[in-house]
Amino acid sequence: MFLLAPAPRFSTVAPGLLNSDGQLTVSLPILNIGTADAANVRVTKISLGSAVRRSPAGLPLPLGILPVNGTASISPRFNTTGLLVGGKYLLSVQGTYEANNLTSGFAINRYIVLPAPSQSPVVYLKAHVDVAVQPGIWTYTIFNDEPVGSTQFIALFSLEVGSPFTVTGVPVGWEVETDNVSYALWVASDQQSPYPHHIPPGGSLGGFQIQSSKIGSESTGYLVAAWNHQLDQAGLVSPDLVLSPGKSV
Amino acid sequence: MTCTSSFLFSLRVSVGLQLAKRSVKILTLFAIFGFVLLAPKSISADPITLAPSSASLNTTAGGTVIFTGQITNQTGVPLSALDLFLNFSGFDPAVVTIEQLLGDPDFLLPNNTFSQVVNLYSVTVAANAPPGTYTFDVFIQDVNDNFSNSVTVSVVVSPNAVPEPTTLLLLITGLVGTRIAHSKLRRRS
Repeated sequence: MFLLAPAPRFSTVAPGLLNSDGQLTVSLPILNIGTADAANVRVTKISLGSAVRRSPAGLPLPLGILPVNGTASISPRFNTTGLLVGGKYLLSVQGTYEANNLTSGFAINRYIVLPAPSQSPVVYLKAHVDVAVQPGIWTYTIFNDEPVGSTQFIALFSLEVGSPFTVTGVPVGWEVETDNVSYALWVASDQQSPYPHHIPPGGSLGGFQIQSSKIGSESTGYLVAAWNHQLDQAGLVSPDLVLSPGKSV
Repeated sequence: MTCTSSFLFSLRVSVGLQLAKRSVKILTLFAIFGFVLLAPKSISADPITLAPSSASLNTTAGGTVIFTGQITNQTGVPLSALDLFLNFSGFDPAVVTIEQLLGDPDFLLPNNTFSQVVNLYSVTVAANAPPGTYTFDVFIQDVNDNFSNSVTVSVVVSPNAVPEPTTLLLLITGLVGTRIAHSKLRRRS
């Protein structure tokens, strides 16, 4: 008989699934059922059969420390094009962690059944953010994906950042607030209707830029918020993930 | 022998018998306890059991190997291969990439049965992987959150085989000799 060295072990529980607007959102809890804490857990690959992943657009996705019996959750989104309702597809998540002064890999798998399409319980703004990454420079472009005629005009972009940075790009008609460490908040500076610098439905705006001494990227959260031009009040929001200067890379 | 000494003698015999019985009981308990402790682990009652066909496979840098094995279902309910999920940890992420194959194709695994030998997962080794032994842990989880035993397996990466100069020389000499002999035979005929 011999004793095994304490080590993390990863598993999953049944995920939450939402098939809406041609996309499948999977809320997947990841558990450490092992006998040692896992530090610096990072997801490096997420796939669902042959489905195209919409979010997170870039990896790695840092999950931090996963203690023994601890749980972290990821919420990837996939296009449902080519998938059949009721079909079973293999969801695979791979990544790395640190334990016993060693960086190791993990891979967890789960077959999931594609549910029938349904209405999302929460209505989100239809928008997305693209990023162009050059060494030490991250440049963001915001897209308002609302249908033409929508009253939702984008007026705010908030970005979570994992390491010190400076803002080097602010679009004309916008202003920025930042602590240069953890967040940057760009806001359209229009004070009165017709708010000419808001991003209209179907439109896009680039030039949101930051620089950092960190070369590597990792996925962090962002929020895009709209102003309802018809009601002249705060509108819908769209939270998601995008690459920014990495904390650990 | 007096009445008192006779009484004492019978008392001693009675106490001795009781002590002997108690000793037998204690020895029996020790034997059972020892058996439980030393019994092989294979009799442990995991609801799912993962038995790989081989605990170690050989390949070269850039190669892919497929681990096969059998799964035993004692969960109390029938399962299909699509209800079974393989989880891995402890591998070198710069060298090893692992993909679950179990479930393709699907098959049924009734309760209290074991599967045929099936493909479980593939392991691809990086093209620049240095020779060595790369280990990792794997276990099965089912859709009802039952877990199998954790198994440690390994991939042994051997150096790419390069023919030694002497072997090549022998091979070339043999080929030339064969060619000459063939030509001589043809001339004679």
